[in-house]
Amino acid sequence: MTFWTIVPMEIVMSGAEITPAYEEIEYSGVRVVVEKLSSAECRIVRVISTEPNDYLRPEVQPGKMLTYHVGDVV
Amino acid sequence: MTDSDNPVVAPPGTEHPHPPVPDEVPKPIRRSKKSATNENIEEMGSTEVPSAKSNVHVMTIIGQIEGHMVLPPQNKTTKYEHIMPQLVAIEQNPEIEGLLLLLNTVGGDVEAGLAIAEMISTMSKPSVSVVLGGGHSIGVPIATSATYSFIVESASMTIHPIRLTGLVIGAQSSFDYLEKMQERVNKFVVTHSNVSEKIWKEMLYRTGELSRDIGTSVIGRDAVQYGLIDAVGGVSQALGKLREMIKAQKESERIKQ
Repeated sequence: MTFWTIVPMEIVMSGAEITPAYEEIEYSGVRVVVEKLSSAECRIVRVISTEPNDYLRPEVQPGKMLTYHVGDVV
Repeated sequence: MTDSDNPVVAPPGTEHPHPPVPDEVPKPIRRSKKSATNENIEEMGSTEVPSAKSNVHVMTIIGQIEGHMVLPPQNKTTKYEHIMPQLVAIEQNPEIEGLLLLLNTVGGDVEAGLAIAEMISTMSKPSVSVVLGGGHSIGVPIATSATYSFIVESASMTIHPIRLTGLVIGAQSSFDYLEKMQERVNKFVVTHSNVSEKIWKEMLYRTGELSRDIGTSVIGRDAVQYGLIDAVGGVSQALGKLREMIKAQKESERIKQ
């Protein structure tokens, strides 16, 4: 892994000690990796699919926030 | 008994006797039933809502190009594991005819950047890149990977050698390795732009121009003069060029048939 950037490494790497909690879930028919932010919220970080068009779907783009609703109808 | 027409209060005796039983695994749902516009404003700070399907797809290469390591969250990153399959989808989707790349990047992982650049350069559909703000370090090969590249007057590109940063052991072999890494980038840029290897290397190792490093910072028109970028221009020029190339490609396909 080699970084080639104009941003000093100490700025890029600050905060690296915090390890995010990742989880794989199924959302709207696609397997996604989410980062758990709290017990109620998570954010999509990655799509796992072999269907290329899944990567163009707006509802599963990385950065999308999801909320856990206990007992809610999806 | 007639139904109550009061929309707020349920008629007596019709409330749920038991609250719904919670599922064992909570299922995520969309945050609310707000319109896509509201959601966009709230989450992305953007008001752009496409009303009609475009035949051109826009890809933004911003912040750090993230590679084999997840960067700390204060970095804005372009994630190659998402960009690459997206490029495959763009290549094979018959409704998409061209790709517009918007670049404002400070660099990042060499291998991830090269991977994106190679994918764009090997696509059969025409692509146009626009360097806005900055296209530094690994942003340079990505900018040149498009079929045609633009730079706005005010944008800058920093060309500097790949350095030992982070967790690398400073032994002779690692210097050799870096040299090889640099050579891969050099080859890519030279073959995908009009810059000659001599000028590129001269820019790479120039002293006295950057305050923290050796190298060159080229701005707008200069990038075109060196042959790194094809033309100076912004959104309208880029889209115009893309449309022109899409038309030319369609015509050449028609002739073949």
